[in-house]
Amino acid sequence: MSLSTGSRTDRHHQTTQKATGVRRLPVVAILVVMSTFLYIFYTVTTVVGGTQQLVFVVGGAFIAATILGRYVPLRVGIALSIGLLIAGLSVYLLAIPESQRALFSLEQGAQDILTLVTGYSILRLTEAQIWVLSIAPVPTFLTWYLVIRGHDVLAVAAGGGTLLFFILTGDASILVTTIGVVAAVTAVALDTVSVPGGLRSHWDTIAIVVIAALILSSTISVVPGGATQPLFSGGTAVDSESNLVTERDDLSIEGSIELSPEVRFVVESPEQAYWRTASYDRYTGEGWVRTADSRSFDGPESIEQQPGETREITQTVTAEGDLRVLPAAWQPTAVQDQDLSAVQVTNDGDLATTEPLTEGDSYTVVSQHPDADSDVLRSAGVGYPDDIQQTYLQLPESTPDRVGAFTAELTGEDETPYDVARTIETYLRTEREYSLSVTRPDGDIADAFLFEMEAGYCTYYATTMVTMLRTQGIPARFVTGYTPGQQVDDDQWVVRGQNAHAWVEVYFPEQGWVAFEPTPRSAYDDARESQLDTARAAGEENVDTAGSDTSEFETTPSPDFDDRDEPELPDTGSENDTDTENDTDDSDANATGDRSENETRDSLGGDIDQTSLEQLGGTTDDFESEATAESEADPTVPTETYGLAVIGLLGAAIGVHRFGYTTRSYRALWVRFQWRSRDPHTDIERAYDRVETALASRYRPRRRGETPRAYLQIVGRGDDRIQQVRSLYEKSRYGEQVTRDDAITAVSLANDVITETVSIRTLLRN
Amino acid sequence: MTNPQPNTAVDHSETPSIAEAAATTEAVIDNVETVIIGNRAEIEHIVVALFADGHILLEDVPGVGKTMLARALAASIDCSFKRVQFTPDLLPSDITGVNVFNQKTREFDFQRGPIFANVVLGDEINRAPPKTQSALLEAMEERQVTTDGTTRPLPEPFTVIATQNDVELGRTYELPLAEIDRFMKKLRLGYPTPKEETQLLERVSGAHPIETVQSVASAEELLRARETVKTIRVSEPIRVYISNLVEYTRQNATLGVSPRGSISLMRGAQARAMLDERSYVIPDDIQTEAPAVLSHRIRTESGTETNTSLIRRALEAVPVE
Repeated sequence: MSLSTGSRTDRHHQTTQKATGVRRLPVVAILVVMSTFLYIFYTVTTVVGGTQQLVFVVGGAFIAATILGRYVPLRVGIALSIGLLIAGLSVYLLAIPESQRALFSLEQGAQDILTLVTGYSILRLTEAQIWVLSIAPVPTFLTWYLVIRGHDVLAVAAGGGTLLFFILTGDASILVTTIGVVAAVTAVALDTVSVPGGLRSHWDTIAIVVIAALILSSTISVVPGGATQPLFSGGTAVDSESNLVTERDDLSIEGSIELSPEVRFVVESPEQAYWRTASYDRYTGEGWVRTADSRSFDGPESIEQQPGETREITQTVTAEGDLRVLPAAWQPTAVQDQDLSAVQVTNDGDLATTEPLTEGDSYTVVSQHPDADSDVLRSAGVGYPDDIQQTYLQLPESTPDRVGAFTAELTGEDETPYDVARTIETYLRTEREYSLSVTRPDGDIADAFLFEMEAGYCTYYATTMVTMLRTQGIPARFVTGYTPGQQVDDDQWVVRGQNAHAWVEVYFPEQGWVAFEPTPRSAYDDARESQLDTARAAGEENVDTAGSDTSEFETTPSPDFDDRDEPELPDTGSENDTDTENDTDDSDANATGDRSENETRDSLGGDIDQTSLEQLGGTTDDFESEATAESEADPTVPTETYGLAVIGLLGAAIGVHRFGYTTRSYRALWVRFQWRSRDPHTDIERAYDRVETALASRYRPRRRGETPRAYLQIVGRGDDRIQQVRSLYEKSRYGEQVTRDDAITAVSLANDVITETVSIRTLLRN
Repeated sequence: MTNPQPNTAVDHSETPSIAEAAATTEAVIDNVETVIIGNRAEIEHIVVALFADGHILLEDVPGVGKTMLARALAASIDCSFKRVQFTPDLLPSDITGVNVFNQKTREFDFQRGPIFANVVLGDEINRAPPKTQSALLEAMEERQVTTDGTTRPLPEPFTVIATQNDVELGRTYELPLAEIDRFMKKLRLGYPTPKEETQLLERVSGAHPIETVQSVASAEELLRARETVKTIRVSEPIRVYISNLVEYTRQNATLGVSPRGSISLMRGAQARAMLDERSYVIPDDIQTEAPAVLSHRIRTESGTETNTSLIRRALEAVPVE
């Protein structure tokens, strides 16, 4: 290699005293690695708070590392870091509420770490802020300390290890992962070649390695179950169901989503309800995280039943396909006909299962449904328990102030939390259009939906409503599950993938969690109905189950529900009053006696309904045609893909250059084709060069001191054409004038010789 | 485009004089070969040097046919031939000639020495002391002899073929560099192969063929051929190539090739091209001539490398232009 110019001792000498200019490059790369994990710490604190303290502790760690790095030997420094880590963990453990700390044991601790590194986001830690503040200084100190000591590779290991931890927890976004991996690779590579001149002779190798790392890390998902998704997996729309109803503990808000018309389960229940699967408490600005722990289900008494008036609903759910969640009406208190060990109940009261249900499995859930009417809720007051306040009022630090300001202005005249919630709900229902085809905004979802977007789907509505409520100090959470579905019998509902939904639950003291629906339901249903019709027309499988296509209810799916769920009009200023009336009216009129949260907030009026239906229907049609056109013409290929392609091509080009393929490809072309010039001398000499190049690639190149004649007597022996080209060349170069005829002869002979004797492959090989 | 027949115009349509000169040269070579068995390459070298107007130094052990070769060459040309046996007591005037007092005319008459011949064979030239050898210097370079202030031109053509014995070095004088540089080529004959030796024995078993060898070219023809050689084209790349080769020897030896050496190389290459009936010199001519023309002109650092190996190295290292 090119390094062999320097003797071994020279190289060693140079390595030990790296030139400062060369040394600076790996340090820059290591700083980039550090900034990736510090950025992750920062994103956590922007959600859970404590950014200022984070800056303080990280800055302190930097200063300490800079000072200690000069005086403290490596062994002591590493011991210090370990001590720091133990201290940080201790602080965190002490900060955990006593009730949970009691559960802590060594085994539990090991299990927790395992849980973390299998995709359990830091954000899901109840005391995420304290965790970040106590842990963040450790890798910062260690990495920078090692840099100061000059152990670049160890520093990369420390920083990269921290980043790897976050990759495993799923906190590192793919972009951060990519930057970090590339920086780490670059740092090691630069350190390896940081001898004078090493960079110059190996820049192409480094570039290839870095680009390979870049492309691999951005196309391969690191953790199968983790949050990191391939960055460049394509810009296709996400299935709304998989985005909404998941057994995982985090939920990221996507752009456009699609609807699956496949039947998921059938519910037998005396009344319809929202089939709830999960609730999320921590809002990251970009998605939702569930901090609550799951624990096994020990029977009805283990569930802390929420206070207030309730009504019992006993429902039986039969899975029509694989089901990873346990949908049930709020609040489930008992589960029957199901292997109890697999059922879990979270702190939030959500049901979960560790073993997915398969087709035909069924279970029965007894739910205690909140039954308080609006007067009761209005008089519930604001005496929230501490733990509710702590968990359900969280907002990311990055939440713009204008969200709170706008909400305060909107709800300025409302006196009770219930009224505030109703006002927000009405506002969102009427002021935003329903569309499944949206571009995911950058930054805070709620802020974007409130001020920039004109349309969105349930996730956007619900996220925005929760954010608005929290700005007003009202505990609220984001809930996912399924809408009631298609009624096929008096007590039977067919629920499809397209029924996946997100809504809001608001906490009322003494009453518990009450659901609110900020999404305009008629538009929601229309979008699903037309989707279902399309799927039926296309003859897709699993679209219908027992009688759902022939049922008398089919033509008017869940008529009651539709009626009750019409969006309220913005001018129903006296809605609160009418609500109460409707409430009683409905409960009397409906045999089902449904008193779900939807009902309590319904405002009815035939002609108004018609108007809004038409209006919304039109919108939906527009959306449908748009969505279809988009999915067919598709591919708005994301810019990232182009970027990646360009980088990939660059890498390929460098690789081609590195292995000499550019010259070889050029030569392969050059040898094949000859453009005529005016000068016969040029043509003849070029013809000869081509022959020589072709023969060189097939046999061996002409040696330096070898004459053309001597060379061709060896490699071109027996071929008169070659000898003729050669003698024409000699005549042209050393002899007198050559004629145009000579040139034509030479070129044509050269063409023949090259075509016959040498293939392109041979030319490329050498 | 499609003109695959051999282009006869390339190699064989030289001016008649080149073809004629080549024929003459070929005839001389063939004639010498009737006397000397094997050594075709050396014979070619010697004849080429003769036609390039150069002097030849043959160096080898005794008895391999050095003198025979020289005699055969001289006999092949219809010209005067003199032979001088160099001995330690040989005087310069023994070569150049002396002024003898003529009793009748009462004047000094110049008695021409053996140097006044078309072909002079100096046998065992290194046995004569430097003073005697220096008598050859003027003759070889300037084709004239000066005795007692009178300069007399030597006949045309004039070629010196010298032999030297390199085994009995104890009783020899090393040739002065200035003299050795005046030889165009130094050649070794070497022993014949057993097969050639068998053939040689068969041939000399009766009368020695040198006794019956006939001349195949006149002095006139030789002179005309020499003029032809001077018309052979030496193109720019060839001149660059020669310069680079010579420069290489100057960089890599304690004494490199003199400009006279490069002129000799060019002249030799021209004659070589003529022999090949070509009107221009190609690098192959240079490479054929270079070892014989250059190696005796350089001094390498003792013990590291022989002269011939240095020239071989130069030919491998210097890119062909």
